[in-house]
Amino acid sequence: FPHVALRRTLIAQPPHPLIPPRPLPTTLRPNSDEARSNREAMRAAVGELDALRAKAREGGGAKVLERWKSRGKGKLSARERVNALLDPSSPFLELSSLAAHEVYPDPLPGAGLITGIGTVAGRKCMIVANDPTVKGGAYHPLTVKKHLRAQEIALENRLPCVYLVESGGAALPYQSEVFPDHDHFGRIFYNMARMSGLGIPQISVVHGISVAGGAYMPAMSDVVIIVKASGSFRIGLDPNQGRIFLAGPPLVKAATGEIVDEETLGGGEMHTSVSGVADNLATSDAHAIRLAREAVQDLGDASPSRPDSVQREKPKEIKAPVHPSSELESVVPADPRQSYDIREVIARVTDGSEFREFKQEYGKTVITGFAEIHGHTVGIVANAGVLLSPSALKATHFIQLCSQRGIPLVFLVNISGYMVGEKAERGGIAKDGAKMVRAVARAKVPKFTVIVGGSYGAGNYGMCGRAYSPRFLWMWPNAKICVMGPDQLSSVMQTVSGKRDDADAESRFKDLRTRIEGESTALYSTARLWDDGIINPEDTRDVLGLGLELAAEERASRQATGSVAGSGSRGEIGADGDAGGWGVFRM
Amino acid sequence: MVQVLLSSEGSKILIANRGEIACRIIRTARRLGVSTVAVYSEADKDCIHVKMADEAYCIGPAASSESYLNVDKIMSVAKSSGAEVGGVPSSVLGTLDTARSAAPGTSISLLDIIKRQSYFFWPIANNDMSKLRLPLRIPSFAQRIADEGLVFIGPPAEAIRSMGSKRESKEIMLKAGVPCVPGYHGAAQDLDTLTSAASSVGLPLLIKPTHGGGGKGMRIVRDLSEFQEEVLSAKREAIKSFGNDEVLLERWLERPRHVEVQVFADGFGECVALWERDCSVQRRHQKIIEEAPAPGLSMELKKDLAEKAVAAAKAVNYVGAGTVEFIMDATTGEYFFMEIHPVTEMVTGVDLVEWQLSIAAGNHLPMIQAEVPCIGHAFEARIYAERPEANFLPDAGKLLHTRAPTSAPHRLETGFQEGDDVSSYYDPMIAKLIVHGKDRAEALALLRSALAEYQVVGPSTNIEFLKAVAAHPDFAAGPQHHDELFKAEPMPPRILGQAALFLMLHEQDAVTGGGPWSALAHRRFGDVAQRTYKFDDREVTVRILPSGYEVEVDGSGTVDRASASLQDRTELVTQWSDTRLASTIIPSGGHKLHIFDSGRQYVLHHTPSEVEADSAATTQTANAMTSPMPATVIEVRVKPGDKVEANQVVCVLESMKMEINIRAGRDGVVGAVNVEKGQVVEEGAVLVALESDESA
Repeated sequence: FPHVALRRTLIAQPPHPLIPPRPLPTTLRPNSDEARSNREAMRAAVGELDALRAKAREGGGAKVLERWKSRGKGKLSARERVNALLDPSSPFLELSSLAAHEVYPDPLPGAGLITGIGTVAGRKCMIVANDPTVKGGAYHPLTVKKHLRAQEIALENRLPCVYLVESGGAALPYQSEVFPDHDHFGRIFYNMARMSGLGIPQISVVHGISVAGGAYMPAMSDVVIIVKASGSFRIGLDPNQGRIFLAGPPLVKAATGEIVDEETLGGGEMHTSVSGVADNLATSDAHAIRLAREAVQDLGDASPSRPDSVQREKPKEIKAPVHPSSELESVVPADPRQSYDIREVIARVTDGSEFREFKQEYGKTVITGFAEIHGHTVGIVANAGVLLSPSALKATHFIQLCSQRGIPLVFLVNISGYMVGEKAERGGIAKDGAKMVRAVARAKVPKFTVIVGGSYGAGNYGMCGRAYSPRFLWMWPNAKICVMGPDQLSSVMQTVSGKRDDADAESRFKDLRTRIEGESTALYSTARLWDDGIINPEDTRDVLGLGLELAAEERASRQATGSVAGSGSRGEIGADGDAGGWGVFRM
Repeated sequence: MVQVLLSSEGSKILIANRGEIACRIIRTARRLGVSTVAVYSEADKDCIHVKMADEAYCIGPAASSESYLNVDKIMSVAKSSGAEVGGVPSSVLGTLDTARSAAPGTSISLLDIIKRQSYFFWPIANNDMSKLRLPLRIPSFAQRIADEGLVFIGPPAEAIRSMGSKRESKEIMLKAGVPCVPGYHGAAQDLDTLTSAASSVGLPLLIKPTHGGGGKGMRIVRDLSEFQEEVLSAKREAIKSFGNDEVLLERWLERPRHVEVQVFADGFGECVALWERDCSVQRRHQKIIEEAPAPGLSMELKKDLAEKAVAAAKAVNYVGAGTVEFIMDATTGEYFFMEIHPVTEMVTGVDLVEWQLSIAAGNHLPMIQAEVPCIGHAFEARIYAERPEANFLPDAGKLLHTRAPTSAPHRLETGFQEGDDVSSYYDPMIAKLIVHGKDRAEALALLRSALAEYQVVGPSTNIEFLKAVAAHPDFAAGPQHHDELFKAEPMPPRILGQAALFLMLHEQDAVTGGGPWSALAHRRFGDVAQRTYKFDDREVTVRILPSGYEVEVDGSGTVDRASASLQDRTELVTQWSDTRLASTIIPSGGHKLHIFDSGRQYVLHHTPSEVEADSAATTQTANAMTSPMPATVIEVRVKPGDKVEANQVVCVLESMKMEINIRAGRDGVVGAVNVEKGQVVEEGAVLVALESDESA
């Protein structure tokens, strides 16, 4: 009976999910005056950000690039190298593109370094590329910091590293700020050794000069590709192709009196045929990139981030949010002091706009619950006001649940701090806040932080600020980060300094307030690497998805190889090293 | 129907040819109960003609000179296969079975020669370079066959010999009262004589090797001051190609009509004309569209042409099928004898292969002139593997996909099937597509619809070009040289856009693993993601927007928005601001894309980025001379360390019977020579590399 079959077809349902879809409701009226003014404010902020990023992407600028390219044939810019290295359709999760913005007397776009994650030969890799058009690629303090941060992300996520090297090494005028300390230049090589020891591949492509400290970049790598001089083999012909030496000709002459040219001292042909410092000789930048792609292809099954490392039973269909991410710009109040329902943000970040809230009626100033982002289950902790004791207890409870269950945590931060005052103190807010801070610090799952509003005071700690090692920390353009609000700060200063209210003091505190306000901006933060970059609000869901996927792959890789690297590594690395081996020595 | 009396015992023929001609002959032979012996080169072991024949023998390696042109090998096969009477091959005639249509003559390469030689006629065609060597070889081949006691299906050696020299043949023709193009055919070849002859012939004039053909060594001179230089150059080329530097001079007709008359002569001195064809649509001196009868000629003129053709055949005691070709000056209506060459064709309902076999068997012609019918109108289009947009350079490669027309009535003569290789060793003709209608208009309509349905993927083909010719209003008015059609049309931006989107979607598909790193392909957070694709000399930039794409061609500043999706591997659907396009795109041969869009086919060559490209090519492109097509190296003129000037010939290749000079791209010093004489090279192979430019 055909009609029976037809009826069966019509009423056939897909298998019921355990929990029926339940999208969050929204109160957003996109055409309201409020939404419109919110939108205008956010668009202005994003527009300003886009302009700054576009400028930073130019590195040293078109003129410098042109002059630099004219010095050799087929030279690619740093960005062209990165793009060529990436798989054609790979996303590129660039990190801290506005690093060093307005920090140094001279501009240092991107801190002279491009870092980011993308796929190379199907494998997610951390790419670190010197931009020689920015002060010759010299390492300023923030360059070092950006480089170390990229390595930290690579270590946590077990990402093979590809270094595209062209740098004169440390920026000598800043030597005291880049050379001696724990997190200075030496740490780069320490990290390379450590990662190699943990089986995380380190690959260098030497496109240009790699001198002094910089010479250890290739020398510490598992695999090194070097670009040979592009001209015929003549002394000093093309000084801009790959060469590696501990000291250049002038220093050699000064030190030993020996007179030698750069090509002889450290050219690609010498290093690949005589010294063995480099492994493969490339005839051009493009050829070198091709060889690097081949090297990644040859990383083998034991290396992390294999293309198929996350086993999916079947391709899961990812539901887009019912309320599109693009509406986020209308959600956030133009006036930062105005509060709003953080669920409006959650609804524009999670799959299907779904959110299964936990302890909804308790400690209402923090929102906790489960959702999926790009198919990954997450526990979300989001602020809905100042943190009170019950809120801190609720968050602590929830964080412990997620840690126990292996569910990554996502913090959506808009926090002015923990509650102050007699009532709060008597209620033990310090103790309850500490519980939350301890839970955040000790959670055994990957954490992701997005500052969507303010991140003030101890709220920064409880909501997984930079010091709590989230896998990634992103800021929205409107975000603020400060020990306290500029008004409170200047008024506190006024009080504790005990100065009388006179006009002079008034203006001093006004200046202080202005300065603090400037220091609280997302731009100020991102310039100093307090975060991994400012994102457009509508990209929140996608960058979280990419980060969650990396974490899932790292976990799969760790389970497969029994390695200790990754999220657990911080706790498991002993005082004098870690459980890894020696790594690969260059022979 | 003609009764075929192949000599007493034997009814077995050896067909010293390949491809569509061999297939055609086998079909008629089979119908007549004649068994067939095919020969093939190692490269052709899987070809259709080998499978169709009753017996087939391998006669050597791919190169024609070592197989199809190896007379000793062929003779030994003829004898050992027991083709008692005659082993010999074949006809070049295409014919009609039931439909009437013009089937053309020649298709293949050097082999043609043989076959042709062997069989009937008279080689020398203006449409097949291979024939160049014919005149020198055929008479001896025909003679040898006769000496061995076998029958050569074709004109007698003596006839071939007397036509072997253009000069001699012109003399014979003039004597027989056949008009010839004004020219100089004298034996005196000194520069002074030639120069004064040139001024009396008049300008423009054509210098032609006496013993050559097919375009090689030919020079057109439009200014007498260039004459001496050109004649010396033509002589150099002639002696290299034909072993003889004799040239003749002819008036060059700028926009001639090529009309040829099919004649048939038996061994009893009878000869009939099977009417005429028009072959005016040519490129590179090879015809690509033929039609019969020639349109626009009065009955008197047709009869006059037929009589002249018969007179020409009789003048050389011709036997078998042959073609007399006339060049008509469109303005004066004069016609001149040009040359006889064997072709195939008919609007007469005659199976020319059958006639050929019959006459070789010693029969009389089955009809007298008055009985030869001429019914309706027929077109033949020749499908070549070539790149019309690249000056019709031959192409080669595997036929990945072929689809013959399904609805339009037509006849297809082909030696290929899907999966076969169009080899660079032989003529790149894939097929002859023949249609027959009650009049020219109907036949032309059939030609258009048949071409529109014909799909070939693999090597590039001239199908699109043929479509353009068939659709051109001037062509509907009458066949002429259509110079403007020979200019490649610029590729429409939306075709380029579709190609780029197709590549991009496939790149996305290639990402494995699922998850956001696949789903968020191309994304640059806070930056505009874009991909640039190069097709030949065009550049397409695709910017990836949150929804859809922006497409810009050649940095024009004009941005076209589109969304795109792949329905399956080859079906692309794109939605543009004002239209929706659905096209089939089939990649082939590494970097080629065949796009079938709205009844048209476009072929694009994708130039991969330096990183994607082969590293050797990557590093040398700027300084490297590469092979434009699969070819054989016939000469290397430089060695490492040599100084060369821009445009100096460094290497000579041969492919599909064409010689290609590879020239230095700039002044410089030779760094590496990667090939040697005789080597077979692929398309894109680096032949010679210059050292880096020292001034850089």
